[in-house]
Amino acid sequence: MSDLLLELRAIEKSFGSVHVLHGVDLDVRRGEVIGLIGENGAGKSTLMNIVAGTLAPSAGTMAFEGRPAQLRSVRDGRAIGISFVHQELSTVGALSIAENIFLGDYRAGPGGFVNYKAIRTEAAQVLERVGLGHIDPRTELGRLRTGEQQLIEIAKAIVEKPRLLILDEPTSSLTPFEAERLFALMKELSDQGTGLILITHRLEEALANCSRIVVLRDGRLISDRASATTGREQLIHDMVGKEATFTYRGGERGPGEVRLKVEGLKDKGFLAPIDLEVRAGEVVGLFGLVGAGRTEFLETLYGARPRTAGSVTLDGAPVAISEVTDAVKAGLFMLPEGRKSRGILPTHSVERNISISHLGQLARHGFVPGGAEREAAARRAETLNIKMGSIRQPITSLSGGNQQKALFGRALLADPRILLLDEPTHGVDVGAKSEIYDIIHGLADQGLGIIVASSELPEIMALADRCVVFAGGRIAGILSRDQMSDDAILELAFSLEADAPGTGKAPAYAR
Amino acid sequence: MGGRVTRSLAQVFSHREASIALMILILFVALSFANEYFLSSRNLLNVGRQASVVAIVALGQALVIISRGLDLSVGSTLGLSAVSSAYVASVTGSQELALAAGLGAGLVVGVLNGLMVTRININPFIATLGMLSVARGVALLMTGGIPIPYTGWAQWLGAGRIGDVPFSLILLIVLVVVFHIFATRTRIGRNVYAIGDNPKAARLAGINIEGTRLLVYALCGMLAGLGGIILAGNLASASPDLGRGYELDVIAAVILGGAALSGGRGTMYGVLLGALLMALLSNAFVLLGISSHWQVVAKGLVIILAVGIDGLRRGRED
Repeated sequence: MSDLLLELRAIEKSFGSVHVLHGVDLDVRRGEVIGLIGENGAGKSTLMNIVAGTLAPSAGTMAFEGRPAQLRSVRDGRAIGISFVHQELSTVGALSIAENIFLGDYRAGPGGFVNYKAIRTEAAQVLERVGLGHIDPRTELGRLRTGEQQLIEIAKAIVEKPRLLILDEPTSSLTPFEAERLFALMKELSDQGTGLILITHRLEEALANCSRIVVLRDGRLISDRASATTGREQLIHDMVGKEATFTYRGGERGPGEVRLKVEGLKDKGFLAPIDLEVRAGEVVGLFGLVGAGRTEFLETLYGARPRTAGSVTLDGAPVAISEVTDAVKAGLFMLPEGRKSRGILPTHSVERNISISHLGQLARHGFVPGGAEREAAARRAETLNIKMGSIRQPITSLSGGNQQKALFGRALLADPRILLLDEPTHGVDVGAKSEIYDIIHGLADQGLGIIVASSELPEIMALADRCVVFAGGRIAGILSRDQMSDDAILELAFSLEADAPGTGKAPAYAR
Repeated sequence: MGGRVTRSLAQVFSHREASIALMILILFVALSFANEYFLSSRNLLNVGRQASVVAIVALGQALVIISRGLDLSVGSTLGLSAVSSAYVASVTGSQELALAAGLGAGLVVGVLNGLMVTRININPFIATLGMLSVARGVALLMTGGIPIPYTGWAQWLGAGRIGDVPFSLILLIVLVVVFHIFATRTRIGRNVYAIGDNPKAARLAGINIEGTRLLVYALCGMLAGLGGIILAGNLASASPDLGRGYELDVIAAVILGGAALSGGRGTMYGVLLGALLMALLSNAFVLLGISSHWQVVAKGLVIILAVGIDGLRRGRED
């Protein structure tokens, strides 16, 4: 028997018209630990979901242990020995640790009774292996820390004795000690012949613990290197590439007066005190890896998260923001990340999604004049070039890009002085993306101050006049347009994580 | 051509209000053949009067449900308002004060519900379940469990007629129109729908969620208070047990009328239709001389049927 475990050949994947994987080939041998890295949206998760059976490839073949494998579900994948531990927890907080580890099966005998004795003994053994030997398996899972719950997920996967184990960002919520323990476990599994794929944002982690590192970019496999012979700089270069899809065209705007001044903004313990200025006509990019604190900062500024300290000045006048309504009144408006969960009103029409934040200005004695509302919404829809049959159709019938444009319409109608955009082009196709960039530039030309938080470097490069890099809940550095380069930004973004691996927080600001 | 007609018919029936209207129509036609007394204006107006209290309270409940809340306390609020009003009438003799006391008691209960939900973040089901018990208990304490005779304005509200038309029915129609306009044309009404549709998005869009929810619970309490005065007036007596189990009829009317318990969906005329359907059903059982016990069964079946059709159509969501 060859020691080839997994063979992927020419894997393609499209969602509708969006092509996310282009002919990916990948081999994994028994006992090998592969690091899979790439920027957000590079296709890492999609590829691994195909391997695990969650998604079916649009084209290409997969073989497992020499036999062709056509997986139709996660269940199929698990049956042949492939386990995928996702970054998001899928544990049940109200059940015990032991019940979670054996979820759905419970080692039940005939008659369906849970074999508590068996699951407790086995759970205790596997807890020992993942470094949680000190915890009683009867403990209610919800009482564990997130990091510990993450380890329970891994325990859940290894009791099935998988031959290929995929871990998606397993260390993001672990302490350094827990992370070390996990790497020891991975070593142990690989010595026993298990293949492992580790998806990670932490380059040091990948270099130290993986035998090979595979880089994906824009759905293509860019490089496949032995970690012994490569380094950070090479990997960053592979991840970023050199082709810029969109060109920056901010330069001609002169910097205006300071419109927004944030001083010492702090939340309940994640954000270090943040200072930031935004000038009229300026687009400030906020870059950071997942969990760096970009979103937390924007939400705290916007009054959507409790703030513990700090002051905000708008056009020279201090404003008190303790609720979102205060922020909107003062002239801030935010388009949140997560269009579906936190942006659109799904059963409302396009028109009403656009007008919802404008009803206050439209209303006469509390009544909303229908004609004026329709006119205002229709005008925005037209200037933003929203493609739709009728403005009265449900917003959910539009494409993602057009939904996002409708949300821009909402923001414009609110007539803000400062616009906060969190991942404004997430899940949007290339055409709509470029239109959205034009909209953002156009608004800056009109003198708005704009903050764009993004985890996509090309987006920051295409939009920002200045880049603020977040890491571990604080500002790791601010780069002027001249200083901005992919490498410089990523260097800053990774800097704090290297200082404090595994905590996800910078300890420096703890007081 | 045929296809287009089918399609537009399908479109009409994609609104739950339409299926309820159809059910009402079928029942109406069937009953007019089954019993010659059914179509008499006296009987029809009576059906309207029977529907009126449930429908009036259901208007408030509908707003609460559209904003993704629930008020289980409306039955008890109704009882508490009735005895408060009757008590003030008997002590002061003032009709104005009595009316204010009834509405005020409902308002207070509604505001307390709203505060529990918005300030202390108690789940609406639990908060109003607690209030269901508290309000009923207070009503019993106030009266010692003994009904208070109640005449005056309330009696006219509950049993009076303008021409042949019961006053409570006229009041209902006026309130449906007013609340329809409130829900669809005012800023606050529109915010109620937005909050129920996606509370997180509504908050980030700058809508005052807490304030709007508080108002909605307050309105619901006040309408329950009005319902209590009408019901007590109709019976010329305010019993502390008045409105026991009413919350179920009220919620049923709202849900039958096309509102979704998950919020964001529902109309005021739908509520009217829901309440009418339930009143028609009880009328049918009386006219056809079937045991009223069957009526209880039928009411439950109609609710399950109406919501079930909708569930089948939408498919599974998880």
